[in-house]
Amino acid sequence: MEKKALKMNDKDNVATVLTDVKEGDTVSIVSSTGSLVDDVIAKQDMTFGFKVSLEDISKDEKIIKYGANIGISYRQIARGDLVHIQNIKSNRISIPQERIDTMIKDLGI
Amino acid sequence: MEFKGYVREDGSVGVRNLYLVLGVCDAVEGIAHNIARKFDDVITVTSEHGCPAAGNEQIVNNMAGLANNPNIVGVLIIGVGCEGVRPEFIVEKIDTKKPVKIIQVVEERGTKNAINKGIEIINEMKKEVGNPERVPVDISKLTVAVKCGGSDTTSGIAANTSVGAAVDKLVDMGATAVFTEPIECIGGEEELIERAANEKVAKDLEETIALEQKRWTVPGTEVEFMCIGNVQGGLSTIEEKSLGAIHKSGTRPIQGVLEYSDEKLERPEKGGVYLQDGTMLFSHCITHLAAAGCQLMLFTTGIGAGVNSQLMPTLRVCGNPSSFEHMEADMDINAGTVISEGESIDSVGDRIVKKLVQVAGGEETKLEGVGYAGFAIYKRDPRLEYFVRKYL
Repeated sequence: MEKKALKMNDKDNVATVLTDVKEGDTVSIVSSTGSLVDDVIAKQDMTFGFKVSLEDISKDEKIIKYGANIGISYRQIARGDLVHIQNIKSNRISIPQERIDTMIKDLGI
Repeated sequence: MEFKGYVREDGSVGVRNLYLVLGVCDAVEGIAHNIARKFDDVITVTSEHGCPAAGNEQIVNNMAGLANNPNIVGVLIIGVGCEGVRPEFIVEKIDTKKPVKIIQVVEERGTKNAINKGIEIINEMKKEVGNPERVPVDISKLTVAVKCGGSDTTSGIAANTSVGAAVDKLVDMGATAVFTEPIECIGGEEELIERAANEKVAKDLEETIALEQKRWTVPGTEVEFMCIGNVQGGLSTIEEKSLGAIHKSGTRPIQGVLEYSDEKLERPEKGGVYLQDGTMLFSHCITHLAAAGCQLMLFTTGIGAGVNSQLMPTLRVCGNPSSFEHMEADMDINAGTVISEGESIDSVGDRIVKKLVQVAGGEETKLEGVGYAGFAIYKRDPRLEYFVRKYL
């Protein structure tokens, strides 16, 4: 089955996977008009709806989705990595670290 | 475009004919339910805020707002006789023509008498109201509430975008759409302010969202704004959730922020998109939207979480293809086809408008008559409001 991820806006540095993805899978990155814009190798397993990084992102950099700033990295992120609460956080209201740690454990990420 | 609705004396249009029993304090909730369950078109809303002597304006505003909703054809207000929310305060704010009656439990000499009296009154109202007929009405007479719940990443991609497309179409035809949950505008301010119809609206948007953020930065409240389902569904931050959420309000200019204060619970005056200064709490939110005059609700979900309103027929739009398959019996529109079949958002938007018109005209939604979220009154805690304005 073709593995696809949706890149909502040209400026985005993440895409949302539309199927479950396994480490090593090649994920086709499609734009919101349906055209293929990139190809990324997933560095980790990812569940449907999770985000994959389209670039190498350093610590304290903006995460762009929908063409807007949705958060900031607190770890280094490599192209193909899973992008979620284990490496990004909100600029505006942050979930307490204890809660994040519990959720990271529950999600197994 | 037209739908078949009930034209009321004041020119507003109802999509259902329902009777409303208002319990002004928790003590009368049982009485209200015992009356309502004898009928299939009687709704009850009871205030859970006790009986303080004053500071009840928001309760009164919600209750009067509900009474004024065009889907309501008769109102019965029940009190014990000693509470701070005097039935007369509510009656004063009912500015639409329909039968309104009051029962006081002490005056009726007890609970069972009050129940019997209530049933008698509803039966009398039904005789008075009769069987109104539906007539063709322009779609500009529709005010649609838009809410999301159980959001995951499909919400921002499929369900909310499709509803946004539907809202654009409705608003272009003169209808009104109301979205709420200022907490889920945090992170999306720039986008929203850009859509403000004028400077005043831009300022109101900015202030409303900024104040809401303050309420959620009080220590201990940070845990409340993203549910575990959101994170399991792939949403990492409030900004990501908000940007996905505001898609459901479409792209047309925002005509105003509907004020919510002791002075008023504002209703939209003309067509267009409005942000209600409200809440994301399900039961409180349904009440609040209905009190602003919304006749129907478009509800989007990814996980499949549900909220159903008795007063506003609720169309459930699911953006997650697996969730739709899993719970198809609950869902009115499958927006997951955007993901699974590449259906265009515009095409789903068309389907939503078409279904909405049918439901407005009397077609039942999948869950109409089943599994309602209870009503609750959204009352801002004056202690928090004072603290947030003065110290944060």
